[in-house]
Amino acid sequence: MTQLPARLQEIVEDFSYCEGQEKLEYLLQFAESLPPLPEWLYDKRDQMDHVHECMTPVFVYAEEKNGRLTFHFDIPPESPTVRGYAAILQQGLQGVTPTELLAIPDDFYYQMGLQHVLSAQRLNGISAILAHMKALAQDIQSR
Amino acid sequence: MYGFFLVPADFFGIFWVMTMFDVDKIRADFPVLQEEVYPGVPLVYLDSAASSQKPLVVIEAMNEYYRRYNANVHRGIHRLSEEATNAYEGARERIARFINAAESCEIIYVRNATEGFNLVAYSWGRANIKPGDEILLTEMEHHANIVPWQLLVQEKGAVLRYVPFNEDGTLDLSSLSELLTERTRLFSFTAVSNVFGTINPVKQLVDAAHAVGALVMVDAAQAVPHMAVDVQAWDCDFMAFSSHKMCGPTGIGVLYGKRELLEAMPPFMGGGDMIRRVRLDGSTWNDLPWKFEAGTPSIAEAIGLGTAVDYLTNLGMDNIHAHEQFITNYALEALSEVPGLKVYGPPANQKAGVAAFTLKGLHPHDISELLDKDGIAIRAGHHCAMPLHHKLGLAATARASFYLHTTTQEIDKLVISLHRARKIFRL
Repeated sequence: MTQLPARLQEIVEDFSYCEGQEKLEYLLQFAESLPPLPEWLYDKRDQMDHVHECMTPVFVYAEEKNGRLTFHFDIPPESPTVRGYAAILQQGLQGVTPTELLAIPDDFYYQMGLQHVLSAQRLNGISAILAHMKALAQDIQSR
Repeated sequence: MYGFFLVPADFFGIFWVMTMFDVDKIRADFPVLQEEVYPGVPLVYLDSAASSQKPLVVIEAMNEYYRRYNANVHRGIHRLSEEATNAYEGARERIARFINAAESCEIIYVRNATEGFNLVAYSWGRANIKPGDEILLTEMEHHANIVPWQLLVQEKGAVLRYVPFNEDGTLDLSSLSELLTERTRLFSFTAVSNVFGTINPVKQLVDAAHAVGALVMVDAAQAVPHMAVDVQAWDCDFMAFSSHKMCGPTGIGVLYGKRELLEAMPPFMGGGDMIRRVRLDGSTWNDLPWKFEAGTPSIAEAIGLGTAVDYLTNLGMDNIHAHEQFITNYALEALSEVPGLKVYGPPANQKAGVAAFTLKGLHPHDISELLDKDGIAIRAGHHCAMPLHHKLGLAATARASFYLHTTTQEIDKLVISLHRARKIFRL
């Protein structure tokens, strides 16, 4: 099994210890921790990547410094579970290299047990967020 | 549980009569309603507007066909084929009576209502629409009644226009006389909105269209399953509906068309069964309705739909409609007690059994996810009505929809579950 970046591995393990409703509550805690879009991105929505697979309007932007990535998200507060998942990705993947990001299994959320609280259809939607992050990482890598 | 409710008497609208609707008995007819979604969690099915559940008689009728007399229909010179043909065509006769079509040849089997719209757009539309012609729709249409016409007008250089809707989900008819002109060739609209539940004034709209010489197509996908529909009283020219929303199987629907119009239309698809004679240098077409039914049809599905029609007829469409109005009224009152919840569409007395809603601070998908854990099946999304949602400034709504088997206890469970969702999401 591919080793996840340390912080993401920690989050995944925390989730795996949660049972039933606790997973959802933990996801909501992450939702609340998702920071607002930085001011410098306010008027750059057209430069952000739209995760069109999600019915929730999800926009993601990849910032690269010294070969390491930081992701910024714009997701409405009415979508707490999507915000929660994005916050996990943001925190768990803070400072990874494009190569590290591309190595993450697309279905890593199964290790968290998210399939017990979110339907398969929803997981398909939110898993697209990671796919878009990977595409952005690939763009950066190929520059 | 016996549901007691008031329905208007046939002869005097001011009088009311008591009627009875044995919901418990009806529920026992549906095997899936006896199921548990999760251990100890019974199913509360509030998604009939997307697809209805099937009574055992429908399942058994299809099973019987496959077990006892499975054969291809028409032209088979053997007993099984004759029996299959009789069942297949017998279903058509009963469907014709169900919607009061003048003749059974006006009932064309299609895959679903969507195919009905595509058939008319392709066959009638391509033969009759010219550059500059106009087709009028409404802003509350399902994509099935938008996209086929978009394809047609793009090809023909014609124009699509739309009747707007009011804030309360009713049609804004103030501009109808400007929208319906001598350029309008067709007015295609839904009898019942699949989001608002609005019951539109079909006869009034048909008369207005005919007054300018336009034909009318009615989307009855949300009407035929829920209320008595009489195509001759409406005087519509075409009408489409789906079997799977009216206790029948998937894979079959109906296009109704007035005989003289269908006779004049070219075939939609070519192949077996739709021809009279085929020569290497050309073919001639079969009579109605088979001219539009190329290839081996959905035989078991037609038989299943015929049985669903019998089932609904025996219960009485007026009784079903009255029950749904009672449930809708109950639901709208109960939902109004949930803080932050907004139901879209007109009041209960103007709508069918559909309650599309939003809950402030919570995405419809999250609502649906939480309700599912309590065994409650609703729909969340744009319900194939993106223009409607766009106008409301929404990406999605949650939608609970009701049918003949819905109980007040199920509505109570919905409301309790919504309160629980608010608590979990700290609203």
